[in-house]
Amino acid sequence: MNESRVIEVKRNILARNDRAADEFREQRREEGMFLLDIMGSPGAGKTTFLLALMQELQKLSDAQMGVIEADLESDVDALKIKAAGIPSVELNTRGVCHVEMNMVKKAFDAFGGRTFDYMFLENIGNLVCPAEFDTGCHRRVMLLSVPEGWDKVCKYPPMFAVVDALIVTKCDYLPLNPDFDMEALREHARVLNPALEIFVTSARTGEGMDAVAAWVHEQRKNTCSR
Amino acid sequence: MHEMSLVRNVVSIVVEEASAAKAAEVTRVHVVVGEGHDIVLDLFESLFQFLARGTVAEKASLEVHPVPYMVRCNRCGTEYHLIPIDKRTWICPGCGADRDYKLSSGMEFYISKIEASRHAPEEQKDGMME
Repeated sequence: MNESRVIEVKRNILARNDRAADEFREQRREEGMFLLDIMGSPGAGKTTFLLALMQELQKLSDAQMGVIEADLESDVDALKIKAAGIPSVELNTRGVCHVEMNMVKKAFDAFGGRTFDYMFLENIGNLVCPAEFDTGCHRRVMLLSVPEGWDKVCKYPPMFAVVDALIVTKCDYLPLNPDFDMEALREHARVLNPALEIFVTSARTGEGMDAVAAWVHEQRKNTCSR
Repeated sequence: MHEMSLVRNVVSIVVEEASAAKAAEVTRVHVVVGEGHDIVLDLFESLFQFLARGTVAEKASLEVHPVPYMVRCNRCGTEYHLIPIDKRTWICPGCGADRDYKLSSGMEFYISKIEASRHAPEEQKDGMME
């Protein structure tokens, strides 16, 4: 006889990753380390932005910083960070399109127990998959560069919905891209995420970088002094 | 292509639950997926068939229950369907409030239930691992 029945499950599919992320986040907070996940499409300017951000943060305090550079392949970005005198670990995912908690832990361990005031994770260049996976960071931001166009917000809503801040990069290109509708971007980005912070920046000219640095500095204070 | 990671989690939860419930064979898995998750359902289903091979769920079918973005108006409490790209849906149909709401659904991503049989079917299991 073959008896059929229903088993109620109600289990979050990403629970294992989420639990590990919560634990990691709390441990880092206790150590006074603030983690920021930086996402965006390939070419959005993540590494250049990060270098400019770290320079701005140095003006606000004498902070120790470290960077996890995630890429499918190569150590091109980690070398750029190291050249700026910042400790950096390259996390090669070998084809995996996003970063998960076990990878973050492994990369973090590669610093050999060093502690930092700020740790940045430059996520894989991708506007889809990274949105799904909690990386154990305290805040998540996404970059959207002016050459990509404002309407990315219509095409990749989940990414815009999960971040704390949207950082428009390469704003020095605005005169070359008159189709970039900043107001439409602001409006659409907040439809699913009304509390979203929005910054307009250029790492090349330095425009808007002080405001982002002040926000990141504040977020660290709010997180680590709890 | 993050579906592989997601489906791996689905299979491991299903196997765990089936074992805890002493089920011999899982026949159907119900997954609830909010609109806020960009998932290719065809791929999700075929990866499930692939990754479930050799487990109690190898013959199970996957049923996906999509959940749309719903918001609740902060002013009058009306709940309505939000289509992010369509400005007309940003306005509350109850009181006309413009984008004054909280998201009430659309971010779900969980296994709601599984259907299982207590005893393995008697017929020979064949043609699975070719």
